[in-house]
Amino acid sequence: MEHLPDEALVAAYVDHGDERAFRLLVERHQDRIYGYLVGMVRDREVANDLFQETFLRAIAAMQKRRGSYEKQGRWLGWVMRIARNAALDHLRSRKKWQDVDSGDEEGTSFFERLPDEGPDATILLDTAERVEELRAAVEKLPPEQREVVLLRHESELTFREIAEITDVSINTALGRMRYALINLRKTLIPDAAK
Amino acid sequence: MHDELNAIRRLYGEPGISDPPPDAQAVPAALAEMKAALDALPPQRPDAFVIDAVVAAAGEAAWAAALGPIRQVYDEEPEPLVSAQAESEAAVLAQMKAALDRLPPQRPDLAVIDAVVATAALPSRPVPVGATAGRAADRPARAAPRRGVVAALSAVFALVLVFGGGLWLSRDTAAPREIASADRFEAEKQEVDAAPLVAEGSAEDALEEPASAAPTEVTGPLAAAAPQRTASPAPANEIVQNERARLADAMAADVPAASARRDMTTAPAAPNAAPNAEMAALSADRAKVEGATLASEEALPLTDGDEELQLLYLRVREMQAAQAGLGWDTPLVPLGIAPDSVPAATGWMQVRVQR
Repeated sequence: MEHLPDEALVAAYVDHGDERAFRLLVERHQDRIYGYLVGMVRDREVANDLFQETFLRAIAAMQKRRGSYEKQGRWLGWVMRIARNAALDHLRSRKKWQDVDSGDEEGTSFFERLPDEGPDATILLDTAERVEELRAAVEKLPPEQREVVLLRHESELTFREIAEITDVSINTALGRMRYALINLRKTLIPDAAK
Repeated sequence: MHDELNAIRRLYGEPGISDPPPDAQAVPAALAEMKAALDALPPQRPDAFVIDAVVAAAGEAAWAAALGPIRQVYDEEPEPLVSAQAESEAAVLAQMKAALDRLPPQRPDLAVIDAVVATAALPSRPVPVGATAGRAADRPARAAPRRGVVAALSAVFALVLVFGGGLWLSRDTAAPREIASADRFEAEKQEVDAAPLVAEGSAEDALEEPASAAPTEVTGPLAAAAPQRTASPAPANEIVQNERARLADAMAADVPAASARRDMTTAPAAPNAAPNAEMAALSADRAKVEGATLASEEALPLTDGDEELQLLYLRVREMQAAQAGLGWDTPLVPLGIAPDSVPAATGWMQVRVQR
């Protein structure tokens, strides 16, 4: 059963009430969903609550009590949309999220380029300290850039899926990722910003 | 041909001019005139939206070119990088991507996983209130309310509040004005009433009677006169005038009790009012009109405070009655104007003059 695709596990749960199949789904994707949530809200306890709320909503929808899950073929993308709604509801309730118009690149000049230099060996995450530095740098990113980083690196979504979930074009999602990487580098290598 | 080209060259300042023949001067003049006319033509420009579209396309192209390195790093439909700077950027971005990829995963608490799976095993368990609040869980994220919209709504609300308050205050201040006007009118009326005019008092008392108590004995004569009015409007006016005078006298004699009630309401003003012959005559005339009209129609649900409105209403009804028999081919005649009264004004002002 561990090798069954998501849709087969979903069908086993929805059609036959197979609890083990649902557990496999949760355990298979817990890193992707939780990593995104904790990166968005920056609080493990809140992320735990949102993780649970996300699956409560998903369960209700899958059991036809509420929602619109129709076995679209991308269960993870569907659950990630639910997780994003839960995260944004939480952030908006605390006024920590401000929507921006599509194309607004967070005050960064679009033609901003990286310094004309090669890769820096100090970025290598050879110590736990550097790992925490990188996580802290991700947390400092503008929300839209941080979200794209999380959806791509924590949830492992494609840019097409990211664009669909965040209601932007693929180019906008790519542009946000580009700026996110540039800003991360500036944070980790302060000299690079000069 | 060579000379003609030289003329064009000369006109437009092009090199290669040879000496023109003596008889070729007229040609450059005509060409110069045409060139001046062409130069005077106003410039034609594309619409602004075309310019905007072109600029947007240029921006998108530049954006797409700038996204080349990130596309290559994430293998999103990459295209060959055309510059060394783009290649350098791709290398740096790839390093940052590798660093992010090496971040260890984060997992929820095991208890959370168990709780979720336990919930999934209980199909009938209700979802916590407020978790979705009746909305689709996978709905697109709501857009946050824009500050501009909120500000505009606040401004509209403030305006409505100001105007509403203004109207309310004006309403509160208008009521005393109406009361004062009514009091002034009542005082004037009492001066008129102070004159010993039995006919007027009787007519007004008749207005105070309920509709069922309207005098019935006067409807007969007017009913008898009605066919004549329909046959010939002009004689009907004379009949109506005669009936008015007669009925006013009859009513004054027939309703002494009502007159007594009215005397009670007007008694305090009587000693202070001086007799006025002109006002008395006007009041008597008004009493005739009121008495006759009341006799032919139902009683009016009006009070003393609405006397002017009463008079206007009676005037309209009288005019309607006089018009009842008119046809499209009937000659135009003055309606409801007493032969002995020459109005100084028309409409509502005419009624006031007749008083």
